[in-house]
Amino acid sequence: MGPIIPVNEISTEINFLIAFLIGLGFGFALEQAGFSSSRKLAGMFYGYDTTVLKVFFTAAITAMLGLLFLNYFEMIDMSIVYVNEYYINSAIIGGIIMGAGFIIGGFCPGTSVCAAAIGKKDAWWFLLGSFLGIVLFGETYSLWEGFYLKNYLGNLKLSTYLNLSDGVFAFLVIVAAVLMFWVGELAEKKFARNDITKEL
Amino acid sequence: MNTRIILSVVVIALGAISAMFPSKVNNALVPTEEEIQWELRSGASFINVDELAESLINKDPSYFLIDIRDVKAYEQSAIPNSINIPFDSLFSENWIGYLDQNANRNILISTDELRAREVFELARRKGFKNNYILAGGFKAWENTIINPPHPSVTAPETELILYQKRLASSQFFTGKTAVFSNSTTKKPVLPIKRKKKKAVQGGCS
Amino acid sequence: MAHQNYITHHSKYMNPYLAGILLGFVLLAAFYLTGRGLGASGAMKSAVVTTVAVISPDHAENSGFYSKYLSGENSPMHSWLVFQVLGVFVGGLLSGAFSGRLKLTTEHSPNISSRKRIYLALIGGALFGFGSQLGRGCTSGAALSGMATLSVAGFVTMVAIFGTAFALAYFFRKNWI
Repeated sequence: MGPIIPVNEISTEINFLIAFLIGLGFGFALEQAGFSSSRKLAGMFYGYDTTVLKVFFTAAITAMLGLLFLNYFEMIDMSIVYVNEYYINSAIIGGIIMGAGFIIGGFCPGTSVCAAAIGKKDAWWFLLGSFLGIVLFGETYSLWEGFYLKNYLGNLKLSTYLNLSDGVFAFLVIVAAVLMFWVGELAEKKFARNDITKEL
Repeated sequence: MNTRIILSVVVIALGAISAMFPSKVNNALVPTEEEIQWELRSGASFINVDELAESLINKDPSYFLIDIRDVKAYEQSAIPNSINIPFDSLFSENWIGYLDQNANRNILISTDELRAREVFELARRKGFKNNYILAGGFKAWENTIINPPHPSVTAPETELILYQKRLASSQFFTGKTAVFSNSTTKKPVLPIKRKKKKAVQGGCS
Repeated sequence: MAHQNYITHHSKYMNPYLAGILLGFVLLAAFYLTGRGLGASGAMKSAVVTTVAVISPDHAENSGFYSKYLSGENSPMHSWLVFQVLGVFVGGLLSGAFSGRLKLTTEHSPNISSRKRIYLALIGGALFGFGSQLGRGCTSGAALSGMATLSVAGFVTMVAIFGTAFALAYFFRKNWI
């Protein structure tokens, strides 16, 4: 039963090898999707290219469904799987700062690594910027510490919070995602910028 | 456009199926009923009396003998170095720590092996490992090690050798030179607690 | 164009839904094998913590932030995410080579100079780096992996990132279109 490595207490060396291989797949998928291009990523926010929406939500619902099916067929112990910790304030404000970083910088950390790998110089600078951002956070940590640790709600699931079963909640997310895909397709027609998309 | 409709229908259908899944939680440490039965059938969860005798003579420290018969039977006669935890109290809070551990190999001893099998199954269902059943139980111990039956005249030589070995063990356990006496009960020391399962640390923090 | 994608043969990039399913399976494999999702900013933090600890060990020890990651015996670079991000780099490189996209460029809108693009990338990166520490993960670690496990943190971070980017898109339109 999964997750294989923690359940079978497999050595860290193998775990790191798996990490590298998973990263390989991650990087490959991101680059193939076109996430190594900042103008393609930014297209999401102007409607001319909604690849980000499609890839992001397809990936999320694929993994979500996969986990539900694995759980149903008794192939994974979900109590071992990491569920992100929820600190209300820092999750929201952190997300807002990241959103600003996204529209200004045109990448997110994962995609910038991909873009840097294929020779995008702007991605190198974005990476350098993110290192500086982390240093800035580290140096000023004492100012934010209280805020950073405020309103902790634990490893909370949204389905638990809404009092729905995981399956029903996932179904609602999927319906919402499919609706968004259709809206995305319409937006690509409405806000088409062939001059840009041709170049990418 | 058609492909899009098909894809939308497929993904929503998968979602609808998952919506009907009951909310259940699996436990990776607890084997399924088939796995438990397989463990019993495969024989890997048993130890036979000859192996036990040998390890006792060699003072193998990894074995921990738990006699689950009632106190009366235990006081009458018992395997040296075994401790008595009667079946009824084995799963009580005071004693469960002996089953739920990862330091020793527990050998469960009952009159025949039936009760020990039962304990093994109950323990496996709770996810406990490192428990083994003495094949044939205490009866087998008495009938093969303490009073070894003489092999028939036509028996092959290997059986004769085994018989001599058993005779020697019998003397070891019952004879005057015995290192153990039946009344020596090891002062039970609670073994190291089994590592409990812990959620993976993840995320970027 | 010289570009030719050996996977799709038609367009330069893989079909987004197909790429999404591929990415979803990678994420699922990560959960099934290791019990944790994907991430990126965590590895950058490891690199930063290591650098700070080399330059000024005392400072790192006394900081409430860096010291958290220096407590173990191993260097913070000896972490799962560092190896995973190395994989992302190599995976991106392989994919780029596969599809004929390896090229040194600074991609920017014709409305701005490449120097301006670099400044913006630096500022954007700094904001993302700072935000990812405050929000405990970036788009991959918090939003994507978090959503797959249905965590509240994942959905909240996702809405906050994309909501803000949409809200600010108008003000930065010159940089992109």
